[in-house]
Amino acid sequence: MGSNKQEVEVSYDVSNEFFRLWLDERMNYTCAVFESEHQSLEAAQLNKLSILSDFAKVTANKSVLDIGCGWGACLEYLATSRSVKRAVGVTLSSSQAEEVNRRKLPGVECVESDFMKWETTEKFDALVSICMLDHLCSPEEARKGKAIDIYRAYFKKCHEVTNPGAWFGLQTILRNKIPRIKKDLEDIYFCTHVIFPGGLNPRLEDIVQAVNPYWEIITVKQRRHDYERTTAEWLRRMRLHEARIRQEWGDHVFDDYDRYLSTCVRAFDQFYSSLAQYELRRLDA
Amino acid sequence: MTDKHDLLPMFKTVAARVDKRSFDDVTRASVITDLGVDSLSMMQIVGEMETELSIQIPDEDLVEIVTVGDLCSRVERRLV
Repeated sequence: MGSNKQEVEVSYDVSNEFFRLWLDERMNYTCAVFESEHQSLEAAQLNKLSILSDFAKVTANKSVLDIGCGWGACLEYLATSRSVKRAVGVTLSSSQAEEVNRRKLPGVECVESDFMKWETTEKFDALVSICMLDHLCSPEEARKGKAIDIYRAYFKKCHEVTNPGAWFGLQTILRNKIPRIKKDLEDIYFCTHVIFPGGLNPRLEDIVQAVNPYWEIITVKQRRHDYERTTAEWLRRMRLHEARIRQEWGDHVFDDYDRYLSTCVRAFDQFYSSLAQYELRRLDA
Repeated sequence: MTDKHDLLPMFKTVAARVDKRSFDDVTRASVITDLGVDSLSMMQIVGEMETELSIQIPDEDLVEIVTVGDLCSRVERRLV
């Protein structure tokens, strides 16, 4: 179902050092939210974390679960800027889990697991999940009409690991208009199958349908141009290190990521793709 | 303006331009995959027809297209 461990490691385990060259200092590998024309990527990433934490109604006395925690940028933000008593992250990627646990952040624990198979008796007061849902449904499953059921199972699991009254700050990439240009289709196919195998971005209407009967959508914010700007900045930074990347990780890594990031910039510009942030409230009987 | 009741001639012209070969023998009953048109070329044909006719076909209308007639019907529906 969706991206398995091997496929996730294709996407995230090239090398932590490789990603460190072009992501922000906290290694957020998701859309930032820019408040102004001149705001830095670093500040915009913190802004994104602040928005999602506010959506999740995070306060210091709450326990927070970060589903698909990446290299721990949000966990670090929760522990240091929001002083939460406990923040748990779940990731399928070994190198991401090692990176998070190596930092020994106060109150933070990172679990290497498939969230959908993760067994825990712990209940959380708040959830954050940033662009993890994009890994849940494969293109083949979507073609068979299984997308809504897969996303609904995810929202059910999110309900099961929370306490009554919980809130959820969710961020997902979206797919929108199918390109009518052959090269754009080929480039998006490349990204889906080579850079992020096993996953497919949902449509907004999939999310709206699938949250029921577990969560109520309170707010949706569309951030398409923020992701266009984020990916353009990643591309600019990566190209600054072209020689080193070609030498240490090979021509194919630089060429693949150059094509992938260039495709992202165009996809967000052309509305083939978009991004949304959601403030969700748990529905209790 | 193209005859709004029959988009087949336009399909033949656009498909020939996109795939660089003749589609003169095509009928509305022709199955698109049997014509050797792959999904990438198909979307380009759709895009060029949209541009020429100044219309936008929703993606969900394109999902179950099998024949040339299916495609023409969906375009013709937007012209009514």
